[in-house]
Amino acid sequence: MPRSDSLGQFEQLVLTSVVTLGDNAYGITIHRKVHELASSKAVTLGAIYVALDRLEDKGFVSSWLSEPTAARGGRAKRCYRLEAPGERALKDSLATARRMALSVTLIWGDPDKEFR
Amino acid sequence: MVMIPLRTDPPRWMQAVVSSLLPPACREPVLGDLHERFGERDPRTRWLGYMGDVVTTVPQVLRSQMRRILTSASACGAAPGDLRNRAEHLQTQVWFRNVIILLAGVFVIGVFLLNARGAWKYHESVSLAMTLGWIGATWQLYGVRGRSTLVPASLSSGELRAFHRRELIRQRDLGYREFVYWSLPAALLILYGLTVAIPGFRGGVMLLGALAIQNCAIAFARRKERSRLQRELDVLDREVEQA
Repeated sequence: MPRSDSLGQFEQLVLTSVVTLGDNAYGITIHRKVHELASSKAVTLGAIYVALDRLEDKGFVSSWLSEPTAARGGRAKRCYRLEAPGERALKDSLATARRMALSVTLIWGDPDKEFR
Repeated sequence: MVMIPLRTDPPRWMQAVVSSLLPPACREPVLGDLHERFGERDPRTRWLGYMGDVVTTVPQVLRSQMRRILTSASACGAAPGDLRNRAEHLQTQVWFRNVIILLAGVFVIGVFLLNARGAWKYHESVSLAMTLGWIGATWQLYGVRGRSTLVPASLSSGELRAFHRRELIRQRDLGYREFVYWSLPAALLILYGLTVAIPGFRGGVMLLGALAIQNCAIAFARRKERSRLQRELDVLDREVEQA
């Protein structure tokens, strides 16, 4: 069965966090960012690791170990970086979301007005 | 007044426990992340928060690492070993058992030859699964047959009865332990491996049903065997009482 290149909603959140965090994207910071983006949902640290492993297997992100720091008890961080296939997949997802938003706006009006 | 320094590190024993639970490939970054979160928490809720993080993180990390390690090839490699082990349980149908053992053997040798020729590369977890299978089979052979062959020659009639009794009890318990601790977990692990390793694998529920039926059959056969051994024990005990 061919491997799907489309992103789930949670994967989109994780990839967006990796992009916005730049060089400082590792477990804790990604978890914090995802938590901030998905404000209505409780997200565990374990779920972030699972999603990152899956994204790495798909070739959407790559990882490396940084230098150990004292704040982490002398342990290294696993930092993540977005790769070209990941960037393409995220752009596709954004384009789909934009088209969806446009279609819904024509029927319901601007959904953002409800939250202002 | 004695000042107690504020602890910003999780207790060592707790770190050691978590460390032993995590796979080596992700041990350092995960432990580091948990450590960092411990330091960021309110001092009154640090312990609780750390425990919560461990409970929600470790199982997910383990599951994810298993998914990464297990491939369809490794699951295929491990399945014949399990099948062979299961065939041993259904000893009433000797020809059927021999056919399964033969087919499983041919399959395993074929997988090894393919790997040696470079035609089919499989993960090292296949070797691990096979090694575990061989250890289990050797242990079983030693437990069932190895120890029971050496009967001391210079035993009196009473001592011989006692020896026989011990042997019956050992065989009665051995089969049950082997089933509960070895065969059942191995089958569940392989089923789990198949469902996570093969994308879009839909046979999980069917396999689970087949496995449940098979395990019921094995449990039934084991129960019959236990009852038979128990009857032999009772006869022996009566003989001892009469003597």
